[in-house]
Amino acid sequence: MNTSSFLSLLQFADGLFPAGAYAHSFGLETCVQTGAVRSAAGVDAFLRVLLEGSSAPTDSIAALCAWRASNGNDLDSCLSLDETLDAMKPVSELRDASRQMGRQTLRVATHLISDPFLKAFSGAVESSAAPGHHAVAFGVVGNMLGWPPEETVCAFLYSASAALVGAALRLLSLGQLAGQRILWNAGPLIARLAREAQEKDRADMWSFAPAQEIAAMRHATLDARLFRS
Amino acid sequence: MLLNPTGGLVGGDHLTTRIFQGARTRVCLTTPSSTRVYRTARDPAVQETFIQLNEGATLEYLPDHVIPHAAAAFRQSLRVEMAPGSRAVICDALAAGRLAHGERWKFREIDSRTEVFMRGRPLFINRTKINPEACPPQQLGIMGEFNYMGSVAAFADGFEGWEKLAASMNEALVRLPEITAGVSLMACDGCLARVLTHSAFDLTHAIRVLWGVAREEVLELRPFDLRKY
Repeated sequence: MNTSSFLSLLQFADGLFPAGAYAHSFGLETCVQTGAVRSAAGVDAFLRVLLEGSSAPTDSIAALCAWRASNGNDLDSCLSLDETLDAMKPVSELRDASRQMGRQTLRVATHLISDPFLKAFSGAVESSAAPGHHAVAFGVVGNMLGWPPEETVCAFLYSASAALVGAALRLLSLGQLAGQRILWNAGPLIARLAREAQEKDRADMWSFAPAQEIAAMRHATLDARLFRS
Repeated sequence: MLLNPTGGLVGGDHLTTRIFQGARTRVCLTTPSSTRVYRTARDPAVQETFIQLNEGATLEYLPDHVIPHAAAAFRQSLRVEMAPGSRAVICDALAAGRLAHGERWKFREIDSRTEVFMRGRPLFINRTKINPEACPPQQLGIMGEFNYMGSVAAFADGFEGWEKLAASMNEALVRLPEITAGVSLMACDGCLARVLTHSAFDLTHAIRVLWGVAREEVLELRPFDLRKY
């Protein structure tokens, strides 16, 4: 990866990037309120299930497939992937989070870069012809900016992890060092999942994290909420 | 009643069921008891179900839960294709194993896929892979201490009362404090409830209650007793 690609990857995966991830806890807020997660160890366990049970087997494979669709200039494949991902996200708050982050990613990307494929895809999203999920937008942008596929998946999983740790720091009395430790410990898992994703395609997408899904479903019914998911 | 001639599935079995429902027909499908999947030495046991609903048809699909024995490998798929004006309530349930024999998450692998299409567009795709050795389901966020999982999903073309259905399901779940459960609306034309329970009794009861709510509100039919036990 050349330096300008590397810099663009840092920018799109940065916590400062306005995807809106800071507004979401991905079900963690419910688990903190019920007492299921109380400590750094609990956040660490929640993050591992999030990565292994849904982010990696569903979203990161979608990011990779979108990368390939963008690389092959195949807009139809990109749109049908986006539609499939929408049907694979039955939990409304998680689906909305993914759509909102995707839309924001595309908005920034189209503001900074001119590219026909990006323009066509974000046009479909703007006109509500496509849901515009985060993983799909991230994969499309990644291919366009010259990020290799494995690094694209790594960065996607890292941003998801950083967003969750950011939410945990606001929900629990955890220090910055504890947060960095959780992210540091997730590194080898992220690397392995990104490597394993490389041979997969959309027929391989799955998820299994029912308790997390239920926590995200119940989030909408909590009396007081800090986060949107 | 879908009668299973073998009383259980063994490795290498491949059961295919195809059901075509004519316009405005009403069908309620169930099994006589749980589906056992015995220890499989090599190839997995495979069960495929394909249901096509013509215009205005109504389907209720309520199989009993699957019980995977130790070392069992099972692959199941359900594909439902819905035409304009059709409605469906679809249940799905799984046990951790033969709990009375002390077997909990001892099976080899389960690969399960449920896909629902409306007018050719995917409404709901749920693909689950469970490999207890590689990723223990006892983890917090996956199944935790629960032994059974189930879901009740409703789909209907031209139905407006989704918010009310979700509220009624949530209300019914408040009266079942011994389980953990959640309800969410899909992107369009659908609603999903998921439950995790400790016992088969709680699972069957929760599914019956949720099915009854969906039956009444989406299918406009009175709840009724399958009288199997």
